[in-house]
Amino acid sequence: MIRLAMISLGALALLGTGCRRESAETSRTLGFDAFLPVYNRHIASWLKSQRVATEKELARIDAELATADDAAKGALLTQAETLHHDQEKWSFRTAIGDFLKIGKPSDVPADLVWENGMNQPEIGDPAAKKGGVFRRYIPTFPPTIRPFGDNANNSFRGDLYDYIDIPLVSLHPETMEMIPGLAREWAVSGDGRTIYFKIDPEATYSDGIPVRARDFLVGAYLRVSDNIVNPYSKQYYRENIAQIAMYDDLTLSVSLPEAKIYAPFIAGALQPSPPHFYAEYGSDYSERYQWRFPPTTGAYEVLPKDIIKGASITQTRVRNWWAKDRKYYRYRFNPDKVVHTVVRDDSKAFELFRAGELDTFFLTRPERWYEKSEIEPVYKGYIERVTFYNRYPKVPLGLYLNVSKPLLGDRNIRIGIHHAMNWQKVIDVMYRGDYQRLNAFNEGYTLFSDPSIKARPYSIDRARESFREAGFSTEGRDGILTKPDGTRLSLAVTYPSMPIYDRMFAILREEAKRCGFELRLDGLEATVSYKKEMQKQHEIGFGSWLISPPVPDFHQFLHSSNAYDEKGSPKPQTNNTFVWSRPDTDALCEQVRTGRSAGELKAAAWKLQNIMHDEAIFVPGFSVDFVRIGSWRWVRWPDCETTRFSPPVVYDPHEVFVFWVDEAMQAETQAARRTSKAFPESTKNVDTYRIIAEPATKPQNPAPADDLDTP
Amino acid sequence: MTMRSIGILGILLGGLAATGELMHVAFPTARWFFETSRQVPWLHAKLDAGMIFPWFGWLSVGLLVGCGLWLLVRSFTRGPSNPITVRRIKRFREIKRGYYSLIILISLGGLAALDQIVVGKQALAVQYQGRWVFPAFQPVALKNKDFGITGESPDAPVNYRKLKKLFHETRGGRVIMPIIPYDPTDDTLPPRSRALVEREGVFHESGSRKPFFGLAARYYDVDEAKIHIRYTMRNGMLSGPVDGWNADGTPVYNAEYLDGKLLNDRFNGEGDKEAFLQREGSDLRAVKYHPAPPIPEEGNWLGTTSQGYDVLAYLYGGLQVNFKAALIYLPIVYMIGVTVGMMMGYFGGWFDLAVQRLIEVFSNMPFLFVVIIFSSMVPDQFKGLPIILTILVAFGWMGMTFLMRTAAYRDKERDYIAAARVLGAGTPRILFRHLLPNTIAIIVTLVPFTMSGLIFSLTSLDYLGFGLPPEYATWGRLLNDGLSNLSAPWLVTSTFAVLVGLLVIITFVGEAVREAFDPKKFTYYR
Repeated sequence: MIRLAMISLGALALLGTGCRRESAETSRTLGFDAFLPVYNRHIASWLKSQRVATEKELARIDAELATADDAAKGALLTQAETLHHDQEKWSFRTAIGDFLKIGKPSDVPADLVWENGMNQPEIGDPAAKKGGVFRRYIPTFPPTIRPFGDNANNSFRGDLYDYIDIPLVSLHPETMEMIPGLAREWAVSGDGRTIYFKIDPEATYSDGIPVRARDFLVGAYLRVSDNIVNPYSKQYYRENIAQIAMYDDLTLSVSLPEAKIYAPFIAGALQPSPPHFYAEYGSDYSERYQWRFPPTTGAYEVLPKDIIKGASITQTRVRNWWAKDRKYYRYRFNPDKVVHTVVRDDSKAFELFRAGELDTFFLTRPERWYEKSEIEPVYKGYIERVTFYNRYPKVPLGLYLNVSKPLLGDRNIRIGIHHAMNWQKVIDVMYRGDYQRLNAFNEGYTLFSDPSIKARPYSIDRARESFREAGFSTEGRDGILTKPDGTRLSLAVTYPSMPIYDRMFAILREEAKRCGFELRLDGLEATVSYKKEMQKQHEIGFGSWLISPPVPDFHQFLHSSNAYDEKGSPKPQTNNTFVWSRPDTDALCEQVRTGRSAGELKAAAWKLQNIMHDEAIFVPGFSVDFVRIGSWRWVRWPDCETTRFSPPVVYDPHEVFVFWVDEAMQAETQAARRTSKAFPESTKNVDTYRIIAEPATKPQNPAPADDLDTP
Repeated sequence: MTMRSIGILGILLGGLAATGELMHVAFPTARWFFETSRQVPWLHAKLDAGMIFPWFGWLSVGLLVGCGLWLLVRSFTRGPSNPITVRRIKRFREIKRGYYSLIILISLGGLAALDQIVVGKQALAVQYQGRWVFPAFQPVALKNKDFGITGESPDAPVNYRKLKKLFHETRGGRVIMPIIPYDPTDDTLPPRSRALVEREGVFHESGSRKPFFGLAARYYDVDEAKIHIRYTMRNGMLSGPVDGWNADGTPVYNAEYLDGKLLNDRFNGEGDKEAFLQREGSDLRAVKYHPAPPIPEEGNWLGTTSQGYDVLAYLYGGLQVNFKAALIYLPIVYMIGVTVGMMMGYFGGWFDLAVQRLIEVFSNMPFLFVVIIFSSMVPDQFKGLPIILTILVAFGWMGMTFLMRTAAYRDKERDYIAAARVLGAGTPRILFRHLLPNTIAIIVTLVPFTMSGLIFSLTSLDYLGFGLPPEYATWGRLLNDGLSNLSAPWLVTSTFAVLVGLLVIITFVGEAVREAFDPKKFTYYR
């Protein structure tokens, strides 16, 4: 797996006001009922202050517009447009009233069109058997098992909550269409901003108590109240949600500040919290609930006796789970128990897997696939190996060029750098040719990525030609190109210093030198290098962002509001590490963010990808379009019409829980191991969902006209 | 005698460096002064129009020639040598183990000084169109077009290994390569491969009796490792998944074999599948990804590192770095340590107390933390040997101060110091002309151990990843590589052997010196 160097905070615009004002307004031991009016007042006053601030800003821009020259005018007009957009958002939010609203059943509009998403293909294999124990490992014991609050965002929460909890509406992991979860039906209002949900009447928590609409309001209260330190949640609810309203026990609505595609999915991500469990909620929540597992709507709960601190956590399948016979859920979540044991060392974990103490293991890294897993249990067929091609968006791993730096402002130099980076050699030498060249930023969103964009290949001639056009005409004694005024073609790449990256950049530097370009290696300790990129002090930054389906995001990476601050210097702590700002990309970013139809969104996203390619601000590195897994033969994976091995849009096939443990086979295999009986070796290649480049039917244009901008 | 040869060596080195700079010839080792001066930003001055003045290079030349001349002159004018020193040298020669170790050490130094003559990717000499050129000794790299290669990249620097093969086929000229035709770093080799031999339908690696297990491939181009079809082999037979690529590297073919029989296949490239499969290419070869085992027929005598460098060339580069570091580090550290130590002992009083406290403060600073902090603070242009050596010097001078301090304390009350003082000698003269020669035994016996200490700390810093940047070949990084690839034992064994070998040799020399300088030879009756 690729080590992710940076972690995205999501598309949150960092608007002023911290959480200090909230503490002034809500005292520390409020219950839900007392909290409701106070928080609604707080949000209302916050909205008012935002409106005033936006108005002031608009007035300032109007004043500046009167005196600005043509060049500055364009930028100011874009700013004004964004502000108008914000203004409209604030007035919508003020108009709908309370943030947490308790309404009447008659408030639900009668003309809604209800959807239920039941026409999608089944997930998983009907042959799946319930039962058995599935054993995995975790590298560290989680600091807490609370779903929110201090440290709750640890790496184990995915296994505990995110893959298990059933949201109101979720996405089908193959078709990316919306399917029902806790909500049996949902409907979108005419303006596209409010989504109404009808909760499945049979939905219950794992302790048998039914799920009610009010629990979603309680869930919001628990997360934004001052009883916990949670600035991220507070900001998320304040800025990305306009209203949460309940109408009766089973009907609720969630309003978003702007209409969006996939709005039911986005709004439906809110989680209910059972009020009876949080009866002791208060300022000591963090300590009191540290090791208590809340009743879940999902298939696995954690029993108190199964938390062995520092050693293991076991999940148990909920008996009589409410969704066990529901379409999309009935063939999933099969093992009776899932045991997560702490194994701190990776290679020790592999030895445990080899000994049969762990059931599956990732073999994606080439040396694991080709060398470490060439072992007797594999030859004898006890361990089966699979290469599974998935369809998850490609992590944008590559070089981020900071265009605010002197040399990188020149497009010819950027194009030259693209041609001077020999990623193919990196792939061939370090990854045995198994990985693939990444072609573009935000590649792999099936609909929203332009498949015709191909990364610029390594070419000494084209690189040198571009550099020559940028004025680098002479070559120094050391083989590095210089301008007549003595400027050397030399730039530093900032990256987290680890043996694997040191090796990678040594190759890139060596090959760049052949193009007359000096790539200086600025390998820093991981946090230092991240900080340097966040301060926009880098020239070329190396990294990647966690991106997720279904919609690509460009706003945080390209919008001018994330590029420069008021004083005109690069704005720190935003994800626009290109320091890129241009009116037309700003408009397109907004379109991607607020597009309501797939067509509109696709058009804007494709345009943005093409601009990024033409302007050459991102040098795509490499990507992996498969995962390789070794699993003991009693772990069965789906092999049926609807699902081959796993649904395709997954980062890790374990997370959809379509596998099952066959206890009869387990006994058979263990017996065979004792007698050294062998089964046929099994190494499979599941490429049903692989996206293969179309065979080139028409002759490709060999002239690099669009690359070099030569007439 | 020794003094004279060191003097001559210094003059020669300085002279070569200056000649090389003026005549544009890159002499082995002598080129280093001006190259470093150009590469390191604070070792040259910028003139206008992009010209730079490598003052460090000229300063080094001046120092080398100056010191060399002084040593040479002194060797004629100083009169007969001290009989005690003569006796000590004689005794050292009698200790055979140490004496031969010293000879080995000096020859290793000489070997390291030969530089690009022994190891390098630049050809020593090329005969093309009847003319001889010497690329390894030219500071500017030649281009493909200089040898009539106008194909895909005429402006790229020449790959002489490829040129040699090309000239061999076309008889267009001659190329003479160094003994090890690879650079220690910055010379990533394409994945290696090895011929497979078929015997009764079963494939064997050439020279092996066991049937082949692993990856095998047909190549478009063996040297560049451009793979056409890659197979999995079990027991010398095709068995397992197969991948195929078209000529521009896009995957177009998938298949599966079991015990030599084709189960299924799929082709989604342009044109005809049969034409793709039948394409002219190399024979089946065993694919050896990095780290590749030793393949003598390819010239990788000790295999390759996981980075794709030749292990032998890398070890040589590491040896050079160690000698270079020692030659810079030892004089500086001794100059500071000896001077400060002598002053502490000679002056005593508040100076002694103050420096002692300073040393205590310094020695309590966690060395590794300082290195980590420094390496994150230093801008990338400045990273390299000079910075690491500066940090090592900052922490390395304290060790000998206390020895020198005691020696000075003891000796300053002796009659010869009193006599010198009475005769009117100044403090510097007393310290350096009278005190220092009488404490030389301490210094000389310490030198070899300081050197092994330096090599050890450089290696461990690199092992931990806080040492030199990746453009330097370092044994520490190789050791780290070897330990994380224990399935590639050639890495760890060769590095371990070389490192331990060098440290043992130095320690033998040190032991012998200590024994030779030990005044206690006749202190007990036999």
